[in-house]
Amino acid sequence: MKRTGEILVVDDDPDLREFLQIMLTSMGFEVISAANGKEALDVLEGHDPDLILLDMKMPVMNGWEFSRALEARGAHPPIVVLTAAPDPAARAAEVHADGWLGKPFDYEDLEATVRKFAARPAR
Amino acid sequence: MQKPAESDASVAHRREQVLFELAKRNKADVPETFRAITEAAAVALDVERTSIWRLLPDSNGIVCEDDFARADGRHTAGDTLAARDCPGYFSAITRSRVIAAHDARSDDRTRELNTPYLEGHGITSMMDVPIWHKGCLYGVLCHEHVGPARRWTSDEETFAGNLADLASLALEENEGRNAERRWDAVVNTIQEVVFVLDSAGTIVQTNPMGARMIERAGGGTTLAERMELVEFRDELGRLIPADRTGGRRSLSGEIVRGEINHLVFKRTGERRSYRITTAPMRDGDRIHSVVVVLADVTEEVAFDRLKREVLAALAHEFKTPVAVVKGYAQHMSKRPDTSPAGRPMLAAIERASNRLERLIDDLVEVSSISLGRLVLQRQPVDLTVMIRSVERWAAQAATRHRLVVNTPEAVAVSADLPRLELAVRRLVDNAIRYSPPGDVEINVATSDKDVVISVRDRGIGIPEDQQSRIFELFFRAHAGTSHDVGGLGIGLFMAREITIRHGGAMWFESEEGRGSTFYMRLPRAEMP
Repeated sequence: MKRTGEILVVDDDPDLREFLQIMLTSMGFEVISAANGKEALDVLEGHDPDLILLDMKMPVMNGWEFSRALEARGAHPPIVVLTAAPDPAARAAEVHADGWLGKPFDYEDLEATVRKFAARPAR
Repeated sequence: MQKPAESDASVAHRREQVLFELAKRNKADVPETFRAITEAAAVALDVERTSIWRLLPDSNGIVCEDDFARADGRHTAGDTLAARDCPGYFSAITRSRVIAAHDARSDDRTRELNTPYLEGHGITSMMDVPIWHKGCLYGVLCHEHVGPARRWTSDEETFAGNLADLASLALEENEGRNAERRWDAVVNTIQEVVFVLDSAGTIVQTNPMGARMIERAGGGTTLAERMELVEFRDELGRLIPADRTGGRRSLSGEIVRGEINHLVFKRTGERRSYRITTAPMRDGDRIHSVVVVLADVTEEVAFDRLKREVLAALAHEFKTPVAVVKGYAQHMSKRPDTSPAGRPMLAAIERASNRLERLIDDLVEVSSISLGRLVLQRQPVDLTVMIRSVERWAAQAATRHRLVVNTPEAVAVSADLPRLELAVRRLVDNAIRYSPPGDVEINVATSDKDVVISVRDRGIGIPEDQQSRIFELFFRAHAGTSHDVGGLGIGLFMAREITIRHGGAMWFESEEGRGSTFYMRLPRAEMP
């Protein structure tokens, strides 16, 4: 499978988006971001990321709606759910996600999870 | 004196008839029964006056409840007799089965009554029978003979004793009916729905709240009708089949205590939530009916949901900023350009964020106890499946610890899966939080009856002087020490509580500096 080293971050919190951008960039990934599901769908028109980091509770289009829309389109990148829910595994299962990260997450957990799905692009 | 024309046999037969007629009447109306007894006694014993007297509450006298004078066929009442005027008589009625005074004016027991009572009524012979009720003297049934003195026969004494017993019976029946009336008043006033179901599940008795519920459903007296008109759902919203409703379970002997059922009234689509309690009523070994009590908790359930939603939203809103704070602190402490003076500060920021995180988790966990109660929804499950789920969770949640799991092929327990998993996860979570990166072991051992899950870490352990309090609510063994990872101190309390509700037990072994092992024992069940 072709790996672009690109990760799409979907979260309505601008500080968290910026934080993830800095972290993931420092790990060597390309980061694109969206503030909600609808924006993310638009971004995906021109990108094919290795991984989508998806917040669940968002205005305009939440994580559940987004993943349904994505499934309706057919094949899509793996999804890792970012959630503050007490049972993150259940949230992940609800949207058929490939993994989850409970907020707040550790730097190591973030890196380990992301590396499972995305590769650093060969430069 | 008896009329010579009548034989002893016919007298005896007539008295038997009288007793039979009195015995078969409904005696719950006490004054009516007393009137019947005095009339029957006067005729059957051929005496002038018969009366029933009631002992006053403080035993200092008696008052006439009914006095029948045969001459004019009239009943009167209300006369009183003070105990201080005739102590011998009052003492006699508490001691004797029958006071047969052949000559009332000279008999020690009755002569105190002489003036003006005996003289006034021309009474020569008396036969008085105490009436007992529930082990206490209620009063006395009096037969008063006018004319030449009369010798009472033992048959007459027996007959009078039988009449007094009938008076006792009337008092008892009346009391039973009063108790029934009081009970009806209670059942009809309470805000709970009460149904009595027969062995076929048909409602045979209810109260006004129950009648209102049947009206709301548009019927549903029989079980089949009910299942057509009402949908029963459990606390988690799963459909309850006809043979698993509380009433049906109690028909097979189970007592259902306070489970939450959501009822959907299909006719109108209305949904209401009830806390349901059901119990079988037995006749020997046979269950002949079931009592069902439903408390409407629709508002509480709605509030409970709101509370959980608010807390979930709050948790979400809290955790995102904590993620940013914690993330930057971790990131900056790793950057080579961070000053040495700044590093401990960043470490403190990280610890503080961890504590906040733990507090939020605890808040969410507390709020998950519905309606302030922990009602389990148990069913047979394979424990090893649950352990694997915990394993997956731990692999994601804690990348610096390795979970080593030893389980048998499969072992069943009767469990509320999400809650039991929460309890086991709590043990694993503690093992991870209070131990350096390394192995955390989960072992599942089985015996014929039980299964024991143990979670072992090689961490800081629990100080010996804190060990006895470790399962207390809000107790935190490491509070205020460098090992304090925050929280409300509810995790182990909840885990143990959940275990106990599953019919199990929880205990631990711990040595400071060497680690802890927590054990959870659960009774085995048949494989699902």
